[in-house]
Amino acid sequence: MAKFEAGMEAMLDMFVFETSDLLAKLDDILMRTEQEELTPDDIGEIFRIMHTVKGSAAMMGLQNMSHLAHALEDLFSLIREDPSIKYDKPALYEMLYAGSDSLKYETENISDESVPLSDFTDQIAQVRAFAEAMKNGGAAPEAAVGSGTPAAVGDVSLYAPDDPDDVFCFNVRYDESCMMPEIRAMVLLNQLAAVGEVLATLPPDLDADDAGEAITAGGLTIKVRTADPDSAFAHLQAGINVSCVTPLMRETKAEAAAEEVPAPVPSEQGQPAEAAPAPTAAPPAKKHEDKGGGVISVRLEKLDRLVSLAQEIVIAQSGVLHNSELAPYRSSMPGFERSARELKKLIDELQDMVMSVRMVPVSGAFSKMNRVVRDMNKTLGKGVKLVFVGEETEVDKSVNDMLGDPLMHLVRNAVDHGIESPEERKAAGKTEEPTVTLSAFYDSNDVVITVADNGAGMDPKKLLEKGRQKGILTKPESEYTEQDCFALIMAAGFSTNTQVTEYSGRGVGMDVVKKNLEKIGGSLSVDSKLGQGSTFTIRVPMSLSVSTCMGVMVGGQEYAIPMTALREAFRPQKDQTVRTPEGREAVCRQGENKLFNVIRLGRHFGTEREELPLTEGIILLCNTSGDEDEHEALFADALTEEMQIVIKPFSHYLARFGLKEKGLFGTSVLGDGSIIPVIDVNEVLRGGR
Amino acid sequence: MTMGDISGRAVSFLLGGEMFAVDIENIIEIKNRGGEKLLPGLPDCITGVINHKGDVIPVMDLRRRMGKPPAESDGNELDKTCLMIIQNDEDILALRIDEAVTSLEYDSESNFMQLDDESVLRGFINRPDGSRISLFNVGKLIDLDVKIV
Repeated sequence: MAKFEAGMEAMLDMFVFETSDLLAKLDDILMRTEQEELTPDDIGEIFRIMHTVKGSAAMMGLQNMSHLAHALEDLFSLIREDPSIKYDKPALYEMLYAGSDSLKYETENISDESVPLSDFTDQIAQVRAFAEAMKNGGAAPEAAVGSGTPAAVGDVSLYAPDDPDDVFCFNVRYDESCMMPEIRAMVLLNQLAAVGEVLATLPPDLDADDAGEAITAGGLTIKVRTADPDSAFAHLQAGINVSCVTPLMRETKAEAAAEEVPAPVPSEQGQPAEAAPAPTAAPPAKKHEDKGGGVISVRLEKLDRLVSLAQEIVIAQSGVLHNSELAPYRSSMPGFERSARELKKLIDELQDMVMSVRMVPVSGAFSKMNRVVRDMNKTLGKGVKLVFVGEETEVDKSVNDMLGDPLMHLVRNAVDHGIESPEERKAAGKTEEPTVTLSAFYDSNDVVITVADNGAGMDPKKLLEKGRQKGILTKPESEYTEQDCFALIMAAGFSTNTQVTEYSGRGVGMDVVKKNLEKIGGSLSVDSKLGQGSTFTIRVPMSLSVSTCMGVMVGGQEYAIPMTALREAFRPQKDQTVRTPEGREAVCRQGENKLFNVIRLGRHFGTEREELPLTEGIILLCNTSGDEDEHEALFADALTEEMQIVIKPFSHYLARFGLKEKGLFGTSVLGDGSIIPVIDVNEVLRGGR
Repeated sequence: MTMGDISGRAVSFLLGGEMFAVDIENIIEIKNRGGEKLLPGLPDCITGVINHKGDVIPVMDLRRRMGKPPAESDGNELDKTCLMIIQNDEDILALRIDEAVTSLEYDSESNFMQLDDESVLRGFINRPDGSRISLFNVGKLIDLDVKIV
């Protein structure tokens, strides 16, 4: 059974999205204000966040979340009403962080039925106790909290004197903690429709603004015509948040009927005090939503569909504008040509726009690290400062989503292993603040993200020694360069810290991080200076989809090569080319003596028609991923043009034919609908060796 | 193996003078050839790829797959050859066929003879005129591990 209320599946995505968003915002505020003053604006914002989370959780039927949010909301309601109230700020923040984490955890796992609903009773009690202590410590801003006794309105009756015997009235009371009882009431009435006909309710209009208050105060009175009053009663009792259901007696049968005249509106007195914050908070909550009016969230599938639609429009456009049936008339249609150009311009702009929509700044991924560092500072007492540089750098959403785990890992490592303890720093004479710097910048089509610490750095000799002990060295120790030694920590089963801490040090992970990055075409590298700190560099493509490529002709067909892979392209002069007696060809750069073995792409792909002299084609020198010096160059018939294309990997079916090993990344569909294969330079070079 | 009641609708087509059919459930569309691009390193019967609504899908020359002489050898069939875009689970392919003919019902109670699961054919549909149409098992047909001698 799903954890949330039946019929709410459609709301699930929205709920998860909104709630995660709100909780992230909460974390942001907490991080920002922890060391500074909590402004009334912030207090209001936290209050509203809790209020909204409470409301939507209640709507989903998630009592535990709703109650916890409610307790926190109440707490902030106290602070909001009396800004001078005294409280233990560190303890308050600890509690808020814990609350935020609990709510986050619950939200993340809501669809996973194998994770049971959490019980937040203790946490709620803790928050309530804190609020109580706060009230007693400071000036109690609020009148005594209602004891929860429902108002005595049970005798409100809807019976008319001439009602037939199969008409019954019930009064339904909701839990005090029930948010938006009017919504619950509507759901309940719907369910009741299964066993009888609902004739009237009190309050009469559940859509009315004050319906919620009225229900909280006087309960919901329902007049229903049913043949089975017991079943109706059972239905009502089974309703979510329903605390008690009272079948109402007919006045003729009730003994003291005359004593009290049925009140059309339930009395307000005795209304539980806790209900008060809800209605008063509604207007600010709305205002808050208005503030976000500049941003809407869209499902990614919709966006992807938009991207492919834009592409199809381009294709259709060229089908119309370059239609051969138009050819005879073209010269006599200047107006048409003008409109065609205008259309093309607009469509080009549309395509650019659509592409840019998927780009998001990395600041989101960065600011999540604030929390990580804060928590670690708390436990490790290192007082590490986190600094961002270039957090406005934009990457494709899919790349951004991928960054979270690697960043978390590297930041934890930097704080835990990189930065020394305050005593060690003092002993080493380090005066600067222990700092971890996250920076992001563009480098051609890649985004480079570095995690740098000014900690102890790594000793290559120690790493090598450790590598030897672990038996993970792959070549003689003497051949290990400093870089190779640093790279060891990214090998499987390596851990330099003998003490395994809460945060890192299991020696698995770095290799996993590296592998995951490589999966999306990224890389991870390390540099370090003993005593001065270490820098981990992540390089990922800016977008998993769009890349700049150079078009080359090979065997009469056009191929694309990612620009990032190309270093240099030139047409060799006769004196730059040599041929070995075995028939191998090689070239050198102008004025240099280093020879590169030529790999003819046409021959490699088996599409070469005739052997083109090297001096009539183009030599391509490449950036290889390996560290070793490259000795190969590629040869293509000609260069065509630079292009921005969306590289798609081969479909599952095509992937089985070893195209990747043959040296193809995938394909791209160009603006005019034609297909262009994309060359994987590294695979071609590997094949050529 | 139990022989359940099998029935459906199939589209028949010509291939090297023989009649074959594919169940209509597998067919996305039938369209003219064009825009085919060669990729190096593909097996013989996959002659290239085409753009199908933004997806790059392989083109399988059904004559080569079935071990028949290429359509180019009997020139008069050339202009009618077309692509039948088919889907099997996740896989979408274009089958190059000589000429689509018609659609017809088949039913194991009346006109359908079922084969076992080992063949690229699911069975045969008997026509009233005594001829037979071979109905492809699309999953096996596109699985190149299933060899056709």
